[in-house]
Amino acid sequence: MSVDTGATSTGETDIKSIRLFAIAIIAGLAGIMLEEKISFVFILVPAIWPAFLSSANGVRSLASYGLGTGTSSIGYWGTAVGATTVYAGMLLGLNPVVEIALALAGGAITGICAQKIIKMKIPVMIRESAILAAATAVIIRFLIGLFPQQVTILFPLMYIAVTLAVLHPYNGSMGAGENQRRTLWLSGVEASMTTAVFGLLLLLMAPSWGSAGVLLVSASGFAVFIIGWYRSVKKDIYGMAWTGFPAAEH
Amino acid sequence: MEPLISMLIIIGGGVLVGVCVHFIPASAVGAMSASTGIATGPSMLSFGAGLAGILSASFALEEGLAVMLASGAGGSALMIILTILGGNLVNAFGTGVPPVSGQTANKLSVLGTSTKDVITGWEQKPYITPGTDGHGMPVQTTVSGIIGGVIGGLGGAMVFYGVYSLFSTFSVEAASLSGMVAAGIFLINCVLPAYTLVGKTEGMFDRKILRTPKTFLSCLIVSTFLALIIYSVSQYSGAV
Repeated sequence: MSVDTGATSTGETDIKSIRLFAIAIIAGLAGIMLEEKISFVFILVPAIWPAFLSSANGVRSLASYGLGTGTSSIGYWGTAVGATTVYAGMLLGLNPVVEIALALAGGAITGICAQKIIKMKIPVMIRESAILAAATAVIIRFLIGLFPQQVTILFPLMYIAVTLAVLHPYNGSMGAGENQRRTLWLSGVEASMTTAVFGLLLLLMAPSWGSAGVLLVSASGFAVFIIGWYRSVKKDIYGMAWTGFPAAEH
Repeated sequence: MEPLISMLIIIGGGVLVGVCVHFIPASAVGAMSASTGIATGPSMLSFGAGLAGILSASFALEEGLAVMLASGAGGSALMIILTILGGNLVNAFGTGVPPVSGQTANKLSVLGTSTKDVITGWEQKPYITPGTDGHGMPVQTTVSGIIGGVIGGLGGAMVFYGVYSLFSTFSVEAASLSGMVAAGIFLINCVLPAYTLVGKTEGMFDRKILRTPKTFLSCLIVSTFLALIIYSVSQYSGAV
């Protein structure tokens, strides 16, 4: 079942989505668990970025097969599964691990439906659906932890902001010459932008040095990611050379 | 209301949401007037219609189930009609192409080999641009879209009502909570049919309507899973 797209046009091998997901889950769960215990939440913000990368990679693996539904739809769908289960789990007072496992199950069930009942011929369908749903659940769970009081007000914003960061990296990079490295750099850029937005909100709602720290950490992450993204774009574009005017025919 | 009945309402609403996508004409290629249908992916369009339905249903929350379902269906159908009207205006006066059903003109309609519009009896074939699969939304497609809007709005309102009646027992903010959860369920269910539709559909006169049972079954499974989660939330949740 583990058919990946393999080597890219630039000759680099892709990072396996399972490996990316493992990093995302470990870092994300560490972030979620420590979030309630320490007061300097801002040092945990980078722990959630791998989850953005993993979910963007999930969108990439799914949508590169030509799904029939748009890239945007699959991003919205993944976040809907993740966000709805986390939200329901939050009302139940469940452990974050259980919530993420539920999201994983929801994604897998949808994947199984698409694979077995609708008979989509996509080998990575079940795995990537589950990864996408669980990775977005990790993100939403972390963001809910940042705003324990105002979740009901902020939930639609969280949902849409996360969705855009999840679906846009592949949607923005797709086309001829798309490769995983560039998509993931763009995903990093958008992940840090999203956490910066929530850092700003946190600063406005509860002004403190910790809140400013979220914004600052996100901004420095943004600087790092955008340099990486710019370099990979620069590497991928074709060189232009002046070849002179064609010979005059008259 | 009995929690179990609320759960069944959520499941039924989820399935209706899935079925509605088959009726709403949508096609990404429609943006270039190269195919019949509203110019966006089917799932995104259905989600827009469903959200309109949930919003208008929530206004009638105090009036009882029947009014609420009607309000949801009306809001959703209104959104679809207005979108179709706008799309047709742009197609006719902006791009300069008449609304014509590509499937009917190419004798691929579900009703047989007639090249006439089923409702008006207007001939479709002479108006189709060569190399395209129709453009705009002709009468039969529009009617199908309205039916889809009604079904989708009904489904969205049912999900909303089910979630609301489960949540209202323990939360004062039940309306806003259930609005969000209903939108999530709508989104999950309306992406699944998009897998069967593969990017475009012309509504109920397209051959793809015959694939509805697959959608039905998969939406049933997924909705049941989600309804179980929401049911357990309502039964075992502490005060929020």
